[in-house]
Amino acid sequence: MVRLQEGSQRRVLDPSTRQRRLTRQLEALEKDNFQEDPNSGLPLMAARLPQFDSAETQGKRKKKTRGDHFKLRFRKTFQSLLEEENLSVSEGTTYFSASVPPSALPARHFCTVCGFPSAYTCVTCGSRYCTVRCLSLHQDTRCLKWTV
Amino acid sequence: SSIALRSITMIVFCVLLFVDFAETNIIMTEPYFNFRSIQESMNEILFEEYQFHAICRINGGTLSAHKYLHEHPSELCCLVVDSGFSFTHIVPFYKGRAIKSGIRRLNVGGKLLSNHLKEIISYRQLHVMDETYVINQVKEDVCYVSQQFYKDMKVAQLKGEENTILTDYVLPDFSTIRKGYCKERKDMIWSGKYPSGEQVLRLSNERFAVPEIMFHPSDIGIQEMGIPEAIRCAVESLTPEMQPHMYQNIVLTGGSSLFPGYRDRVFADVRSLSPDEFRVSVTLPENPITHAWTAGSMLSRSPSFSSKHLVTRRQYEEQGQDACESKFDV
Repeated sequence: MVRLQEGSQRRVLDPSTRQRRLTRQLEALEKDNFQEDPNSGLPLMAARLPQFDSAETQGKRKKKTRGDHFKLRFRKTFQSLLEEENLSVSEGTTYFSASVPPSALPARHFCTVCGFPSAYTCVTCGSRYCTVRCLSLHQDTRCLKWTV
Repeated sequence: SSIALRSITMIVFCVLLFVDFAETNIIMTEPYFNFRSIQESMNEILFEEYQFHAICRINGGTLSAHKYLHEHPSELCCLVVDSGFSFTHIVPFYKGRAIKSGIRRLNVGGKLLSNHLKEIISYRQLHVMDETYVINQVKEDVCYVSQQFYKDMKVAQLKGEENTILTDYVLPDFSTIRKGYCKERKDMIWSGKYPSGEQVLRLSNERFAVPEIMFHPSDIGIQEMGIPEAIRCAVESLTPEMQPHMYQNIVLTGGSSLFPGYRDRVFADVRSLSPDEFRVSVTLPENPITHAWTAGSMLSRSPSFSSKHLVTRRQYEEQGQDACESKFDV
């Protein structure tokens, strides 16, 4: 399939947009998935297990005021805790300095469609592909379809 | 996070354990470089709400190191590679204490591998972005670490029966099929659909490309070193006298070390990255997941445990948070 007519209309993303898209994709990989185990058919335990959102109302120790106090004080997310840690202690080794540096070896690239090693880059969005067939699949389904 | 912590502790203690808190000591594991606010709130919850007799907050890797040194009394150092759900830590230990400046953290863990597998399956075959548990099971059943990456890639590209890597995974539908499983090679149909109509995932290069992320995070764009390189980076930050001892005592723990071929691959890569004159030895315990727990139970029976590691409730009431801060490091 030769796409000659798209030569003038093709939109090309600049490097900063590409970097932003990549960062977005990587952050999506870090999300916690709080879901129910489909096999958890435990009718006995379900009655005694407190639900996560009503944890403050149930509980052995009836310290309701304590629960509210905790909820108000600790409404921080992981991100805000990270920032707080960043601003506080900075001598010795910290969470941030313990992070591993970038690799000394060059990155390998894989086709986003089939996963095998790729040699070519899509002109528009910068994703890798291995053969022309994967390129046409990519352009039909995914190229710039998810805007960032 | 504190709310989740309280809920979890409530579930564990109220439902599963029927203990008298006032007489019990508890060992609680926490991640490395845990945030001060979380540490303090944990102390508060354990002492003031549950009123334990004494607590010990320790890292999982420290427990594993104690067990390893207990089993190998002639060694002074060890290097624990703990690859868990959220991240992987590489921690050097000398005489049971972690060397803080040598700790390295990779942000690659089981969670990232499962999420990545979900994405690629959702794009290539079937939309599974909501099925975390099912895909987690797929990852555990089907993925392995390859010893020769490019060779396996070539095999995975072959068609038909020559492709020994290709497997079909039958997905559970929770009515007839309770749990997913791999189809037997003799039952596999190489071209066309299955007549029985069950949902099947066809996995070839995903089987070894997903765990490969632990060794080359740059494959998906994460600017970090893989595990073998990070081991070298951690060891090289120590004094030259300690380096050979660290290479000789590498211990792999954590759930993500259960991939078949993981230990051999780590050994091969570290061997090629480390200097020739050093001896490299990598051990994988029989159960990497419970290794830290059994280590904790073993440690709690040792005679010096209470003086070195425990903070009693009395000490906490007298000195406050400082008692815990001084005794528990990292």
